[in-house]
Amino acid sequence: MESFAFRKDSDVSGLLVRSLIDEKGLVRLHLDSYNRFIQSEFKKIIEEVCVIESTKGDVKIKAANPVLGRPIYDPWTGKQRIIPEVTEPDFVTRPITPMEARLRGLSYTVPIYCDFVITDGDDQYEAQQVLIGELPVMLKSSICVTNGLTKDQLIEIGEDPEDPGGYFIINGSERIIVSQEDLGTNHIFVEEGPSNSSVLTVSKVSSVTRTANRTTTQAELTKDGRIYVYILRSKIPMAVVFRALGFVTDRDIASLITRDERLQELLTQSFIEGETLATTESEALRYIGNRVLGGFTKSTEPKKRGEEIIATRLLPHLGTSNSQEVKTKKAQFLALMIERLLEVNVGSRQPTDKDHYANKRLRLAGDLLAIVLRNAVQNFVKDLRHNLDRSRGRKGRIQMKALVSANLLTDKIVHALATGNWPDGRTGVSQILDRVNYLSTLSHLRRVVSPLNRMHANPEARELHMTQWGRICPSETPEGVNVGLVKNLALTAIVSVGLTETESSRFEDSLYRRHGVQPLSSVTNFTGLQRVYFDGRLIGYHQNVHQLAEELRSRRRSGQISPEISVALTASPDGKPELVVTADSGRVMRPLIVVRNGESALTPKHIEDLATQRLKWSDLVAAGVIEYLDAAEEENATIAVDFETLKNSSHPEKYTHVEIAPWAIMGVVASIIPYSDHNQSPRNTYESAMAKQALGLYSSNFRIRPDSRGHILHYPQRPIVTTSGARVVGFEKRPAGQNVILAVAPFEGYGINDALIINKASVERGLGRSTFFRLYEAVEKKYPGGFTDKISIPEQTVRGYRGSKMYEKLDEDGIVLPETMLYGDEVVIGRVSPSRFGSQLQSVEGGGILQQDTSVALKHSEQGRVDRVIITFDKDGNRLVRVRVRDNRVPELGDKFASRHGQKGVLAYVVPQEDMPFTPQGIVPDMIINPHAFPSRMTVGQLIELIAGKVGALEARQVDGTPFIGEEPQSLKEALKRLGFNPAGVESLIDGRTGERLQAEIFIGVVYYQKLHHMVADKIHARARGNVQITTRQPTEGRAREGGLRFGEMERDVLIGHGAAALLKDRLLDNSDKTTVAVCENCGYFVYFDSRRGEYVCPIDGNKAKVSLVSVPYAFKLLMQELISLGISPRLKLGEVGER
Amino acid sequence: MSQTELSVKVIEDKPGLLTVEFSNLRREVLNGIRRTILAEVPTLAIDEVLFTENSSPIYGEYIAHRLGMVPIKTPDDPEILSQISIDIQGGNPPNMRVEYQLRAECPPQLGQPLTVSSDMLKPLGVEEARPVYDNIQLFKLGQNQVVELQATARYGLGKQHAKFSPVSPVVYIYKPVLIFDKTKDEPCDQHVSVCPTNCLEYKHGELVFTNPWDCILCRACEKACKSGATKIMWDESVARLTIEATGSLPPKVILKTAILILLKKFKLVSEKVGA
Ligand code: SF4
Repeated sequence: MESFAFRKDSDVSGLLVRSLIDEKGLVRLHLDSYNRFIQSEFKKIIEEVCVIESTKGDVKIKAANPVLGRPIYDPWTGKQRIIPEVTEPDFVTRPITPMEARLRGLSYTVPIYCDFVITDGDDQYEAQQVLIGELPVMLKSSICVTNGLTKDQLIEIGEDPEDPGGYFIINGSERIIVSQEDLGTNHIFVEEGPSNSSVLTVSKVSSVTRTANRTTTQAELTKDGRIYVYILRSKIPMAVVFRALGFVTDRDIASLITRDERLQELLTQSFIEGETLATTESEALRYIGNRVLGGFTKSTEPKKRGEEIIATRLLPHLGTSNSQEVKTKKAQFLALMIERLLEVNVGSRQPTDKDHYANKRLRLAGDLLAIVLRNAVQNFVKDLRHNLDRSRGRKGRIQMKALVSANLLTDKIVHALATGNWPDGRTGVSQILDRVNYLSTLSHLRRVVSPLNRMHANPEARELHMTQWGRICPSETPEGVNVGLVKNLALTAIVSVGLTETESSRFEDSLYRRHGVQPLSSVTNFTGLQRVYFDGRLIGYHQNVHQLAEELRSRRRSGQISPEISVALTASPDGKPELVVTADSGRVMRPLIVVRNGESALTPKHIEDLATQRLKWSDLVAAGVIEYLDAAEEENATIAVDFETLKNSSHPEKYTHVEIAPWAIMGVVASIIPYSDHNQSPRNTYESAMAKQALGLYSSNFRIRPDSRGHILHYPQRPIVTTSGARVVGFEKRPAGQNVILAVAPFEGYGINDALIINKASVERGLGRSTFFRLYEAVEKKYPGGFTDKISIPEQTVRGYRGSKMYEKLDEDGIVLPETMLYGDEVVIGRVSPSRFGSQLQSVEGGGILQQDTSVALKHSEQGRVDRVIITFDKDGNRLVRVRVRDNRVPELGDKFASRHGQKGVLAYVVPQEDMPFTPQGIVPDMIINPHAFPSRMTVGQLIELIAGKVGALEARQVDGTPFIGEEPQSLKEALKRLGFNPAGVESLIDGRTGERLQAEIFIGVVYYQKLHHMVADKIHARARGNVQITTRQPTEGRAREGGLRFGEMERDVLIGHGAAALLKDRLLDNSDKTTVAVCENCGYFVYFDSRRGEYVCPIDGNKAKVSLVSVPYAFKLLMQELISLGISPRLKLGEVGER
Repeated sequence: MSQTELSVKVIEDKPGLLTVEFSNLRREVLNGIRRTILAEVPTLAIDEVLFTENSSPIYGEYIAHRLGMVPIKTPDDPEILSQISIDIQGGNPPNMRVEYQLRAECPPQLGQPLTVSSDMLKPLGVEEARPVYDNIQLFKLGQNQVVELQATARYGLGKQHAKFSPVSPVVYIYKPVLIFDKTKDEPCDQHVSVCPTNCLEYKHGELVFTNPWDCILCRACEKACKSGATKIMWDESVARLTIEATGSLPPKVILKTAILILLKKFKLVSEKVGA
C-alpha cells in the first residue's frame, strides 16, 4: 500500500478546500440556482401561465418564447452579449454596471421580451415581440456584466474583485434571497397523528413542479380504520380516489397498495365506505367534482370538474394531463403513500425523521424567484385579460404593445425583493446584504433559514442532527428565539441543482433499459425482487439492488451520469434491501475522497498537480477521486476522519471514503477561530456572532460605494495565528482585526467584569482606529401641478427655517463642499419644497407659493467631515444628491473589543505608556485583560493562540491554528523555549509606576483582537430638558429623538423604599408632564376656560360650579378624557391634603 | 568600591542604542529617569497638516496621523531640550516650528501605484529637521492621484502624544541573583536544561549563572527544581538601563536631557519651597 507522504495533513486539506472554493466560490449555490432559473424555469413559467382568453371568447393570446434581454454591445468586453440594461426616463436604453445601479438607486435588471401569438377566431396573427417587464439580475450570474471580466476590468467598473456576488441590486440597495430550508418535496413523509385527534397516522407529500406549482396531498388513517385522502383540503375516502384514477375493484386497489395480507386487512373499513359512495370511475369523478371546493375550475359539470381536479390538484408533480398513463402513476404513488401509512401504523416502519438532512431541501434564489415570477405573471395575465376585454369594442388589429403594462410585472417582482414579503406568505425572504465586514457578507450569503415558527419550541428541529455534519456549521447560530432555526452552511457544503426534466426522464429510462430495472406494471411475480425508488417514486423492481447501486456509483464516478445523483441503499420493513435514487434540487451534499479497497483514490500525484494548478477540483470529481454524498447516501458510507486513520486501520477496506478536511465542518465564520477545538462550544457560537460585528475592510471599493452607513478599520491585519479556513475563505485579503500584545493580569482593578485596559501609546500609534461613514441624501422631486423641490439655501421666509447658522456650511448650490467639517444638526443639503397646502393657499392669499424647508441635516449626535458628494439622477429623472460624511474614530473608553474566542470587553482604562508594565525586552502590552476571563469560560483556544501568536511574532511567520490539525501546543511551547522565552508564555514584568518587579510572572503574548461596531460615540447620550411627546407631554424616548432617560418602575420602588416622597414627585410629576387642570368640584368633571368672558365654565353645573385648579400628570388628564370618550364617567373628588 | 557608592558603566553604545549599568541607584530614581525619557523628553513631530489637494484613497486625517509618526531629527542640545520640556509643562510651549511641504503625483505612464515615502517630505528653512529615515512609506497613489500638503512640526512631549516620545523601548532589568542551596540539591539537571536562555551550569557541584544578565527571571528553573534548592531572586541595587531611540535624538542626549529635566524640576521645587 502506498503511503501518504504528504507534507502535512493540513496542507492537503487546505489545498483541496481552496481548489474547491477557488473554482466554485462560496456562493455557488445562489449562482447555480439563478442560472438554472433564467435558463429554463423562467421560460416555462411564462409559457405555462401566460395564456389569455378573452372572456368574450373569440380571442386567444399565448405567450411564447420569452427571452431575457437582447444581445447588446458590451463596452467592457467589446462583445455582443446579454447584459443588464437601464431605461432612462427619456426611453433611451443603455447597459448599466452594478456600481451605477447602487449610486443612482436603480435596480440592476434585464428586460424580458416575449412573443405573443394571437388567434382571433380562426385567424392567427403573426407573433408580436413585446417588452413585458424586467427581471432583477444576480451579481456574478451568467447575465451579469461582471461575468468574464478580468480583475482590472472589475476594478475599472467599480467592483471589488473579491466580491462574492450572489445578491441583487434593488432600488440601489443590495438584497439577497436567503436560502429557505424546506421539507423534501415530492417525497412521502409519514408521521403520527396529533395525540388528541381521531387521526392515527398521516402520510403526506408536498408536490411541487419545477415551475413552482405547489400542492399538498395527504392520506390519513383514522381511529375507525378508514383511510382518507385530502385533495385541496377536502376529505375523500381512499377507495373513491383510486376509482377516479381508474382502479375500480377492491382487489385491484388492495394489490396496488400492498401485497402484505396483514396490511390489506386494514383496508376493509375503507372499502366498505367506498362501496356506498362510488362504484365506478365516473361516479367517483362526480363525487370528487361535487366534494372538492374551490372556484378555480371552469366547467360546472361535476364529472368534468372531478377530472380536472384529479389532473391538476392531485400529485401534480407526476403530470397534469388526463391520460391513463399519468393516472396510473398517480395511483401507484398514492398506493405507496398508503402502504407507508399502514406500515407505520402497525409499527413495522418508523415515522419519517423530519430532522434528518436527507429529508430537507434548500429552496434557493432560483426556486424562490420562480414563486415570485409565477405570481407576477398571473397578475400580469389578469391585467392583460382586462385590457383585452376593454379593447374588444374597438376595431382593427390587436396591438400587444397597447395592452401590455410592462411596469406591472417589474413592480411585483421588485416589490417582493425589496420588502421580503413573498407571495406564498413568507416574510423576510429577501434581506439587505450584511456589509459590516467581508465575513459577515459571506456568512449572510450562506445562511439557511428554517420556516418553523420561532415562537414554537420545536426542540428537535433546533438541535444539531448528526446528518448536519459537514453540511451545517455546528457553531454558527444565533442565540435566543432563532437558535437552531437560522443556520449556516459548512465550508464544503454544496447544494444540488437537480436534473432538468429531460435529463431526469432520460436517466429514468436508462435505469430500465441499461440497468434492468423492471417497470412496475410489467412485474407479475414479485419473488426475489427488490424495490427501486427514483425521486420519491417507486419506479420498479430489480433482482439485486446492491449490484445496481455499485453500477450506478461507478458510472457516477466515471462521469457517465451526473455527480449529483445520489444512490442510497435502505431496507424495507421485511428486511429486503431497497435502492433510493435521488436527483432533485436543493439537497445539501458534501464532497469526500473515495476509498477503493482500503486505499484512498487521492494520490500524492493528484496533490502535486493540484498544487501546481495542473489539476482543478472539477477534474478530481470527474476522475472519481472525489464524490459528493447527500445525507441519504452518507448513511451507506464509512468515512475515515483523516488519512492517518485510514492508514493505521487494521481493516482499511471497511472504509468507503476519507474526509477532505476535518475543519471543513465549520462554516465561514467559525472557521476563522484558531484552536476552536480547544474551546468550550458556546464560546465558538458567541464568536460566530461577534465576528460578524468586527470592523475591517468590508469591500475594497468602499470609497465609491453609497452604503447608508459603514465602518472601515484603518490598519486591518492578517492574523498571526491563522487557520486554513480563514485563508480559504478570503479573510486574509479582507481582514477585520489587529494583532495585539496581550497581557493577562489584573491592573488596579480596572479589568473587572471583562473590561480592557489599553495602552495610550498604542492608541496614539493607530491601534483600533476606524472611520465611520454615513450617507445623507436628498431628491429634488417633481410634484403634479408643476411644483418642484429646489435644492438650494433656503430663504429666511421659508416655513421651518432653522436660523442662518445652520446653513453656514452650504455652498451656493445648497450642498456642502467636500472636506467641510460638520457638527450635529447642521444642514448637509439645503432643500425647499412646496408646502403641502401651497397650491390652495396661493389662490387664497394671492401671494407666492408657500414653501417649506425640507433640508437634510446631520444627525443630532454626530459629527464628521464631508467625504464625497454625488450628484446624479434617479430612475424618474429627478436630481439626486448624496453626501457621505465620515468620522474618524479613535478608541475611547467604552468601545467594545473582542478576541476570536467569544471574549468581549469594553475599554475601561487608557493607560499612559510609562505606567504600563514592561518585559525585560522592553515590550509593553497593548492590552491587558483580567485573568478571571478564563476559568469559567474555558476558552483554552485563546491561551494557545496567545502562545502561538508569540511564536509567530518572534519567528516572523504565521502560525497554523486550524482546529484539529493545527500546530500542536506542545511544539509551540518548545519553539518558545528555543527562542529564549519561558515555554509557558509567562514573563517577568516590571511595573511601570513603581519600577518594582511584579511578584507573579505574567502571561503575555500576541492575540488577534477585533474592534466591534458598538462604539461609545454612537451611544453616548444625556439630556437635561428637551422635547416631549405630543400625546402624553412626557419626555421623548431614545437617543435619536433626544429623549430623556427613563425613570422606571424599579427606580420608583427605590424612592418609595427610601420614603423620598418629594423626590418621587419631582421625578414623576414636576419634571415630567405636570399640567394644571380646572375641575368642577360639584360634578367632578373638567371645566373649560372661556377666554371671551375670562372665566371657567362648567358645562354641567353652569353658575353653580365650584372650580378648582389641580396639578396632575398630563397623561392622567388624557386618561380621563379617553375614558369619557368610551362612555365611562370618571369623576374627580377634590379635597385638601390629608383629608379623606 | 563601597557597597553604597553609585557607579555607572556603559555596557553598550551604538548609534540609537545605549545600555548603561547603574549600581546603587535607587529604584525610584531609575524608574523616574525611564518615565521621564518616555513622557517628557521633547522631540519635533508633525502636529498640523494642511491639505491643499488630496485625491488619494487615504483620508486627510489618516495621512496626517501617519505623518505625525515619522521621527524627525531634533536639535540635540540637552540644555535647550530640557528647558523646552519644562516650558511645555509649565504651559509655555516654544514658538519654534518647522514647516514641511509635500507634493506627490502619480503619473499615468508609471503603470503602477506610486509609493510616497518620507524623503518626499521637504522641510522649508530648517534643513536639519528632516525625517530620520528616508524610506518610511507614507501612502500610495494610484494613477493621476495627487496629494499636496503643508505640515508643521512642533515640540511636544511623549505624554501629550506617543509620537513625541524619543524612544521605542526604554527598559531596565535588575540583576538576577541565583540562590542555590547545595545541601538540598539532589543530582538532577532538570533546571539547567529547562532554562530557555541557557544561562545555568554546574560548576564544582554548584549551580551558577554562566552570565547573570542572560537570565530573564522567568523562574522556569525554580519551578523545575523539585528539591527547592534553586531560587531566582534579583538585586535591585544593580540595574541595566537600555534606551533604543527612534532616531530623532541620540540615546545619550535622551538620557542627559531626562536627567536635566529631573534636576530642573527639583530645582524648581526647591525654589518654590524657598530654600
Ligand atoms: S529564571 Fe528563567 S532565565 Fe533565569 S535562570 Fe531560571 S530558567 Fe533561566
